[in-house]
Amino acid sequence: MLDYLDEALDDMVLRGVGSAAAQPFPYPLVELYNKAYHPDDMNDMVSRFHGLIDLAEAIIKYLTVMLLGQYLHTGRPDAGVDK
Amino acid sequence: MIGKWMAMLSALIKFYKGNPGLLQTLELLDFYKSPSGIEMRKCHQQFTPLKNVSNSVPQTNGAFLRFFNEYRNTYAHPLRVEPEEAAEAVPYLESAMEELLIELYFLGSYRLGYLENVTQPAGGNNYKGTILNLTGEQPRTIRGSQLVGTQSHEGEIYLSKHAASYDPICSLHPLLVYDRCTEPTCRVRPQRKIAFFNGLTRQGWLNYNVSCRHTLTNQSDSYNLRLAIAGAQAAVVSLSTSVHPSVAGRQAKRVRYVPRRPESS
Repeated sequence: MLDYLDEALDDMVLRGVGSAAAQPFPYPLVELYNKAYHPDDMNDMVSRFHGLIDLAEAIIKYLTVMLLGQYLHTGRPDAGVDK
Repeated sequence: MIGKWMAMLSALIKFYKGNPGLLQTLELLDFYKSPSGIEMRKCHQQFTPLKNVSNSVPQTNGAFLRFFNEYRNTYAHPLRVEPEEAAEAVPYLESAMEELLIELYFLGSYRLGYLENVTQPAGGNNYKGTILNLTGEQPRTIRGSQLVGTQSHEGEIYLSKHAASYDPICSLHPLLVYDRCTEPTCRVRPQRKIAFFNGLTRQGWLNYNVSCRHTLTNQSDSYNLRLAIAGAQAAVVSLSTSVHPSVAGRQAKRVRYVPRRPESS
């Protein structure tokens, strides 16, 4: 991807630049984004691969937590939750 | 493990598609059903012949996440990859993830706030607390104490919209826990011994400038985390067959208040 797009992505994720309401991303994703896109060694492809997989996994889990928090907040949906 | 989370995410999305009025983060629904980008599709096409994943090219962001889940599961736990394989995959994954992150721009509109130092300065229900903003690269205390309701609990992380006033959507405790690192071998200065637990990453803990492996100091948090995840899985599994209590309540009210037909004389 072009350099200016990389910078725009950094701005959006790390600094929250882009719209009036925007803030940086939540810390867990920021941390993993830095590891994936700004690794210590750009030539270590295995680390970079791990970093990208970790970031993608964390995104899936974070989105789930966002929904799960709201779901559980509006009432316990099942007796199994208390078991 | 990631497969369980993906299954929960899909079930929750399905539930909220049918009940959007119950969801405060509506952008997430839009994100999930929006068309996936060119790089995401390229990534899928590249890996289909190499990794035995499903053949249909993902048409939406949600489908791309499901594809990624399948792709991840073709590797061992813990993750092992040959250097040549990684070198081939990284450019595709990197571009696809960049597109995915751009689609997730709305995450910047929601704050993770840790509630601390709750006091009751004027008695009654007049509680005030300090919010630690857990977005960005460093935790930052939001200036001035905020009025918090009796429903808010000190020591928990709340999801809220970015706004001057404290207006939480819900608590994420104990799925997300914020704690200090107490590892004796931690090399970071005491005042910076701050760890952030999300319980959801491969590493377990994510730390602010701390690289040690942290364990939960609060045993009840650890227990509650396991309980919450197990309970959530059980609850979400039943999503497709059961009705959410708040919806069930409204339906019950609707039935209760149906006007009676006038009795024929």
